[in-house]
Amino acid sequence: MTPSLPQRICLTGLLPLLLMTRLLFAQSYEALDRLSVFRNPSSSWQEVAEVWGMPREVNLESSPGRGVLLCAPKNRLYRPEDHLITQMEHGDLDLSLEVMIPAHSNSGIYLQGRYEIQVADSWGKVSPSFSDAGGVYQRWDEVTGKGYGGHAPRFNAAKAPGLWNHIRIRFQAPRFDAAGRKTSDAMLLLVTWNGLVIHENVPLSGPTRAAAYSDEKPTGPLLFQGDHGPVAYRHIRLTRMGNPDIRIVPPVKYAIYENAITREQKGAIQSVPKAKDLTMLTPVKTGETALIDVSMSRRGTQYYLLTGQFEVPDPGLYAFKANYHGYARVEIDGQLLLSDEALPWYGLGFNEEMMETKQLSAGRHSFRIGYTHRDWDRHLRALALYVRAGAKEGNWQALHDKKSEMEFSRTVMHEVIPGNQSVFQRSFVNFDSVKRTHAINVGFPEAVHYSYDTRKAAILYVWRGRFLNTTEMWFDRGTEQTAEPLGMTQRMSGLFPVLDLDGNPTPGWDSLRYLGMNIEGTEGRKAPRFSYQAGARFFKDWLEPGPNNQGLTRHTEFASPVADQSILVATAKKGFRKLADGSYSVDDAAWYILVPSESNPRVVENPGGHWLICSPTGVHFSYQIIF
Amino acid sequence: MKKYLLFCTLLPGFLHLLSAQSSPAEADFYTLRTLPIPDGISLEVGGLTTLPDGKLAVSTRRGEIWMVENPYTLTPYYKRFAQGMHEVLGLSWHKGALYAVQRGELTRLKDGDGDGVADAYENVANWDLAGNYHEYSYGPVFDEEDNMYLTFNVAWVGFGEAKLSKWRGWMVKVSPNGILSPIASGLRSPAGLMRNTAGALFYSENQGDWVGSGRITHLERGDFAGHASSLVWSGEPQSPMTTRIADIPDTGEPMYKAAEKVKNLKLPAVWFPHALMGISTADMLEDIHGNMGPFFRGHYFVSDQGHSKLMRMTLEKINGQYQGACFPFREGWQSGLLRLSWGADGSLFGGMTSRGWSSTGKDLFGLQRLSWNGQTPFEMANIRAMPDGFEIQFTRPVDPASASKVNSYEINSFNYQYHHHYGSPAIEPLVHKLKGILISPDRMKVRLVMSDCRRFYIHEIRPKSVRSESGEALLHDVGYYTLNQVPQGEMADLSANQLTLEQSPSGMHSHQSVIAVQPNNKKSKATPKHRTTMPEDWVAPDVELVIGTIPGMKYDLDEVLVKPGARVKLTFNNLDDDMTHNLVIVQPGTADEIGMAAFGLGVKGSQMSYVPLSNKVLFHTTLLQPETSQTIYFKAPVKPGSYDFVCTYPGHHVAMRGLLRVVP
Repeated sequence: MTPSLPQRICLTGLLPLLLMTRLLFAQSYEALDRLSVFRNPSSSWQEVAEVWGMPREVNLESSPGRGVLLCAPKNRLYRPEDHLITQMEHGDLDLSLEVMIPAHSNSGIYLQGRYEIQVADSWGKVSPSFSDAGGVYQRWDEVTGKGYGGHAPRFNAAKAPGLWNHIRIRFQAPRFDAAGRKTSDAMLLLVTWNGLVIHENVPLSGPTRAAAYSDEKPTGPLLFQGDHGPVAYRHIRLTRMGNPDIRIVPPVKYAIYENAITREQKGAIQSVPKAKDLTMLTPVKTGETALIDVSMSRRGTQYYLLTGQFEVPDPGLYAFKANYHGYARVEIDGQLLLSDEALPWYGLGFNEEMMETKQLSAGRHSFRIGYTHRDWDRHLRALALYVRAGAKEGNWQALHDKKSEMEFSRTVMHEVIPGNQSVFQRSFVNFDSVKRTHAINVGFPEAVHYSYDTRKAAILYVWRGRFLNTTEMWFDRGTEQTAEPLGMTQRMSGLFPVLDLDGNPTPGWDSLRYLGMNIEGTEGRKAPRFSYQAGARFFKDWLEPGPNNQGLTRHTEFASPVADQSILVATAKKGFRKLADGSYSVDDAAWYILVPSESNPRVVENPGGHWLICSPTGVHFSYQIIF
Repeated sequence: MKKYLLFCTLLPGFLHLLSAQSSPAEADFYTLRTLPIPDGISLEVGGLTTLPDGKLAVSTRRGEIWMVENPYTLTPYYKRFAQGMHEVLGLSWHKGALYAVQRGELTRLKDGDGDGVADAYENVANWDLAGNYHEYSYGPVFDEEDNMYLTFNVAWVGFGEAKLSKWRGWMVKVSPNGILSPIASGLRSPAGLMRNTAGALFYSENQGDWVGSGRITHLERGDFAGHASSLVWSGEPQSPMTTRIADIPDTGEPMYKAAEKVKNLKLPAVWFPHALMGISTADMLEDIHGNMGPFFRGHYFVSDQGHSKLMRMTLEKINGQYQGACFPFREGWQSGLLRLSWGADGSLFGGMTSRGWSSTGKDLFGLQRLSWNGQTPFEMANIRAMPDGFEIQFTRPVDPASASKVNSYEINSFNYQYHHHYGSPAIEPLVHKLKGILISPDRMKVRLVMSDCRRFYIHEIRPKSVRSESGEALLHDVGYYTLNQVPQGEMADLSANQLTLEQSPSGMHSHQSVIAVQPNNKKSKATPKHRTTMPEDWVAPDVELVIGTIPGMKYDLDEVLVKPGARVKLTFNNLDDDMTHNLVIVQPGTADEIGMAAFGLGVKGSQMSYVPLSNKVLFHTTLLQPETSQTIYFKAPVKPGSYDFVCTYPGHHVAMRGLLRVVP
């Protein structure tokens, strides 16, 4: 059986005393979840618990409570008092939030009240411009009455109306000299929309059209546009940069040992390399650096030991993350915090990550890091150590020298591009940290695509945008052999769909045999369709672009009716919401699913989440994935 | 007019120099033509087969299958038949359908509507994979009952590992209805699989852990071919053997010693000595019709990916076991030669890729066609084992004078270590003495009579000074015979032998049965060209240089600067994880010459760290194992100039070099 790659992100550290940490914790990020942090919010805004919509519905519905800021400017538009402006002002900023709009609506996020990132219904648009979702809106010349500037997002990563979009912005404020003259433009260091990078290092020459101010200053408030239509914002988290955080107290001492590695052999299992008893060994080289740095590590037979101290300004819960290539262990104050030594050595990928939290008091703490790079990838050595305040939110801060980071070593990028026909490419696909080794990626000229596990008849991902990044397959030997979606991606269940009426996996269907795929369909629109046999049953399964490019439709054709079976159509950790048009909003409005009502859709609770199952009648069953 | 004539006479010389990499003599008999490939097609050949209508079907590592029509003309036509598969490293045409082996699936492709594009990709069989890139899969080879044979690479985790996925390291059979069953184990990197006209299956193996050198092994059900890791699956219900990993000796003695204890350990039929006969043995092709000459009918052509060349192999059955010899054949292919297929006209197509592994041919991929021009070269056609030596069959009559001299021949034998370490140097070398030479009446055969042949050893037969009766030297003057079995039969009658036996050639003398020391910096002896301790009269070095390696057989510095006469301390770090290297400083412009001379050291070379005895060699390290270092001390030359430093391990000197610039 294929062993699965173990999860290396362990989020349970010492059990924190949550209550105490809240009191002692000097937050380095702020949550803007209450209207009270804004200046005189108009009556168009209210706090609600949940918000939802439908793909073609122009309004949003809500339930009472708190956590979401909803703007519903009924019967009026274009009134500046409907903008939401924070009381605080910010300079450099790290902001993350979620936004939802209904069909045809429009909003915007104005950094410092001046520089707008557009929020708009751009669903399905293939070539976005500055005025589409995620665009940097253009500036306006009052004299000529013309717009100029503006920066289109790299991708249209907008989801369908009525779904939450996750946005992350790292912003650098303009700089001024002592006389108040601007010395450098404001800059968007990074903007991601639903996980996709849409802007990187984009300079902002001045306030965009309809900004709250026409001048530029070192600080300004955050402004959320509320005068163009309904919009909801939630999980607004920001970190105002420049606050002192954890700092390394130089020097960091390093010692390099030769022949210091040992590997245990227990029967057929060999362990991750561990250091021998270093007290018995003399280092071959020692030295000091200002930050954590393993770039001098030369080969897998060397063990690299780093010791040093860091200063913590405020007591609280901190998270540490190591991104590295090779094997590493991190101790803080003599206690092991991060280590991969319990894991089997094989199957480790290209860029490992370990994360763990620790309660820290204010003041100095010591660290001890052991590192060895992987013996057969000797030219790749990296250990990047990050820290942030808080377990789940906030900005990671580097404790390492940049040259200790993983270098991007692919000198060529490979991409598969659909022409005017569908294309497909088999590859390994990473799904929940496990490689699905018999996966296929299918791309369409309509710019919606999916990946599929042929051994399990299971959908892995659907996405919009460009098709497939195959660099890890075709650069050099292709040591990963994985292909990645090049668009805004939504994870699917990854599970074989046929279950019994209670929603449990069906014994009779577990001897699933993949028969192959046929390229079928109408002329000019042929695409793969996958055939299976399970026991005495046969079926065909495939996806193709849905109507109006709203997503993908999955079709399953059974050789004979399957009245006694249920089909798993979706899984969701956060459940399903049935909507007025009969479709469901899935996983807290991450995507929609539209199943035929005659198939008796219902939600079943299972360990690990909620399942939406249907009992199709007849031989043909199809449903739509709308995103 | 005079100038024009001068240019004409110079030009062939220039062209000769330019083609130095491929021996011009081979090109006199075998023409190598390059097929043009449309810009935009990454034809990284993984599979190659010729269809009944003469078209070529080419599968690539990008998962495509291209049909090449009219590959025999100057204008081949390419049409894509299939796409999107996962690294297809084997292609076969059988009973009207094309079969492709992807990493995880054996796929049968069909074009139902006849538009030249596959519309059905049927899963004949699929198997577990762990996601490790090294788990390549090859085949299929058909038998008369439509069964298909595939071979499976082990994973690479710093060494070859079979346990990550079931049946890795095995040859398996897939029945026509897709049932997979295991046949033989012990494979490591079985890139080539062939079934000959007698129905015997052979696979090619690459040097690596447990594999001292490349080789070709005949596989039968229940055989274990040597790589221990795959035995993790021998306990499975369908397994045809009960051999376990713990049963396999890991002593470093030659394989035949282990075969005494492990009854199903199958010794290779033909060893391909590493660096001399390639470094990554790949595809095998039987020449049933004598396409490369009637004297080679029934022989086999074997490709090498790393050295971009084609070799030739002969097989005979002695005491029921296959064994035979390998010979050089044709160098100079444009990239890593992975796949071979006969064209409809008897020419030989070679499909190539070198992405991920360097090859002598510098193109990233390619497709070429080799044809014999009908001239008979003077060659050793065959070497057969005799009860008391060997018999060489030549393609043309030999000149008796040269053929009857003992000094015209060099015969060495050696073996390889069998252990879990990567590769092996040639060990237990022996120089053989000839007792007698018998030339057949038609002068086409020469029987070499010896009393010191060693069963299980690889015998290097080098009739270096034998000439044809028209005075030509041999096109290739060496062959390597794997003598696992010694035939019964009559000893040679030497009573009429007129020869005077002369002293054996200088070099190593008889019966060095000590296992050679692994090339290891610690035990090298100091010579004026190789000093590993600082000379006592130096107070300190004037300059310390550190040179390492980077992937792709290169040093990590292109040039270093020293002053004339400077006292230099040079540390060479072989950072490579799987290749042996040295560093040799030579006179300006002589890197190629010394590199080729190292190649010519043959089997002895590994004992000499591949440093030829030449006054053009100034200073050198010994051969360094992967991830080891050596420091040497020398005084830089007094004469300013650009002195090459180069790795003279066979095959490396072309790319792996730099300049030691002596500048006042």
